[in-house]
Amino acid sequence: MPLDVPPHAALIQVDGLTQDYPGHRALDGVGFAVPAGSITALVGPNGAGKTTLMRCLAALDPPFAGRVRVAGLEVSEAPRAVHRVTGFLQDIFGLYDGLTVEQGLWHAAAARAVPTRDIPERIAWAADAVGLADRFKQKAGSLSRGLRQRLAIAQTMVHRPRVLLLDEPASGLDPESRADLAALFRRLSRDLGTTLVVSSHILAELEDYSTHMLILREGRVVRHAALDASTGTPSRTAAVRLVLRLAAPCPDLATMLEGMSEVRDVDVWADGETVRLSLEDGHDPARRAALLRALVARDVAVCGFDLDRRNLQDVYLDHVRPAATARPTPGKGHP
Amino acid sequence: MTLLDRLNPLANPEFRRNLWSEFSTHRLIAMPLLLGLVFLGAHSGFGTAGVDQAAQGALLALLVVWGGRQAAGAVSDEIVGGTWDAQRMSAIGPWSLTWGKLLGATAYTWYGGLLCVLVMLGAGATSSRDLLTMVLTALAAQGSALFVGMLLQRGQRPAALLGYVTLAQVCGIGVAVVLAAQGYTWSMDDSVTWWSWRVSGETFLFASTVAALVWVLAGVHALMREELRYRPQPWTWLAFLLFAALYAAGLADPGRLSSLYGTMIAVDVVPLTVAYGVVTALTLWSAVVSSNTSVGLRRWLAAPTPARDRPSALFLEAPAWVLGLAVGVLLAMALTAAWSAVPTPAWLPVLVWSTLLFLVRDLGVVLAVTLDGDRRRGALGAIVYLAVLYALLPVVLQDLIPNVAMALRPTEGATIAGSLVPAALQAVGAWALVAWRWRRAGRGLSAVAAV
Repeated sequence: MPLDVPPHAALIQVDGLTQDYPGHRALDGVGFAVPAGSITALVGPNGAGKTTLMRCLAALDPPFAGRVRVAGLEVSEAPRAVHRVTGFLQDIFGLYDGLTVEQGLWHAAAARAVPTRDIPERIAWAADAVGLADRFKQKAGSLSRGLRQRLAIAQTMVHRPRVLLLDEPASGLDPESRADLAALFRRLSRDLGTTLVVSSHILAELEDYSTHMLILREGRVVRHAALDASTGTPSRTAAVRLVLRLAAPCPDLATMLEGMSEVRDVDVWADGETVRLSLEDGHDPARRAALLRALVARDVAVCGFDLDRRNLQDVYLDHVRPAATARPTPGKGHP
Repeated sequence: MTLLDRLNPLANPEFRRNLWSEFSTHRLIAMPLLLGLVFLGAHSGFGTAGVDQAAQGALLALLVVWGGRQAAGAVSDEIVGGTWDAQRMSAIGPWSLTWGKLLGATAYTWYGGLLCVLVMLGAGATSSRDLLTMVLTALAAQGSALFVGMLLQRGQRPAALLGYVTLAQVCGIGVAVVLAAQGYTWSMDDSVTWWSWRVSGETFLFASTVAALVWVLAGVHALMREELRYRPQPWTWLAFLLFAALYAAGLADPGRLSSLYGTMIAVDVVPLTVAYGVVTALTLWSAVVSSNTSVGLRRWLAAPTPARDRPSALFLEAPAWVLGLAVGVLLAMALTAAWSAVPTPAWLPVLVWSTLLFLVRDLGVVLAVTLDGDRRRGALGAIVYLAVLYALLPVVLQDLIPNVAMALRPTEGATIAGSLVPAALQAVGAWALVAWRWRRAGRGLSAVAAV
């Protein structure tokens, strides 16, 4: 059965996806794989093709070229089956203003073929998940923007889809609601195994819950990687980036570090007091402790020693900014 | 879904949602109160007959005018409201969505309509058959409004949809007017001859109204299938072409056609001639209302390529005008063969084939104007250009070039040099224009194999 995708296998597989609009190529040979149960942050500048990509994944628009498989289903061949396993919240969504919260959720559940006997339980679950359980009888038209957003999210997930595609789901939400939303996404991923693809321009929010990052620019994938759980940056090899701070500059430090086999990519700031480097197997605290011991043993005045935490925004900007205007990376030669 | 659920209309989420949206305590009370006032007024002025007339008027106003607006906007309002994509992704099937929208969006007008029907039955001045015909006419009008509304909204920006809703509503009213006018004409005759059957005018009107309703529902169903992304299929359109051709051909009057052409026409070819005319007209209409995008056409043309490897899609996903053109070619061949048995008039085959070439030219004009363009302006532009070719140019040039009409549109007495050759040259010119537009549309897009 196509729906039997093993855990951690790719639940979404995209190969050579190209989508054209008249006179304009929105997606150009896009390819990536999203593991089951992951939360992928889909980011990119305006016009990068994020919404087009989501519409293709949701089997709303047939792709012009390439293959898209969602839960083992080919979107070109079985779009209706893809609809059944997918939930899609668009950035500009609509609600039936004349319906109450309960009626709206009933309609969403029934329309997505939730069995009649299960609908009350699903309504209660979805409303509770987004904090609308006490507003069942309130009409959607009378809800505030943030509450409308929550209702839209509840309607999108009430049938417990295997894949949730969310375009700017947190816009209009207050900070507390955003934190609740992040917790909800984590729960959906952890407890129900839901695979989420979330597009947002608020990268700090994505950092809260994303396990993967997919950067699009001008219709192409420029970066797709798992995010390191500890640093929030895309994990690469076993090497880990560290940052050292010195009490006083150490002129021979670069030579000393480059002489160590496990250290590479040494980058000393112009002030001589900040050093970045990569340490093989640096995830292992014992390896980091050994390096620190070696530095102290050589009278290097280390006053700070930590993982180099680069946030999602740093990574994003590295990839979407043109090289000429890229934010300078501190290091040798930089003022 | 259990059998009980299937039989329960409230189990259709779309119908139920519409009921929730359309009805409130206030609206439930307001409708009978207002209608009651109207009927009381009519009774005090004109007695029972006045009540019946008022009920008829209210029925048509509620179901055709108001209900037509509701049906016309049933999908467009969802697009504007941002809920349509969620409906497209729902598990509701095309038929459930069709009747759920048609009867759901108009439910409140049917509530008032039902009150009118009860009053008319009570007044006893309208026969139950007439009443049924009125109700079916109203349903056909609403269905037409929904169909046209769906047809026009494709590929449009939400902001542009309101004007189309009004246009679709007017089309729905137009269908009701045509059916009513036709009913009046047929009721004047004792009988109507369709093919060789003679039936009463009332019976034929009733059957025609039912057929119109069935085809409108089939059309909406086909559009719903497309919106819900079911696999494309051409059967509804082909069946409709066949039905329309047979229906019109069955009513063909050899005497009327002969007087139209100013010459005798072999009786055997008259039905085929009418069927051919209907198919070519519908084919042109389908091209004007189609969403002609270079992306869609490129996907379709890529069907037999190794990348897509779906040769059957070349037929199954063919644009309606391509299928209509193919049917037109078949009918032209059949008509030529039928004419050869009794070759009267001599120019008929030239007219038939030049008509086909004019159709090819017109399709080229429509595509050249509408390809990838603003749909509203494109369609209006195409209609204007066709009007120029068919009506304006023949009048303007008639004093300069003798028989110029023959070279611009299908005309009786067609000749090879005067009709066939000019039609072919114009067709080539129009399609050269399409080729130019096609190249412009593909500019900036590198070659890629479609799925």
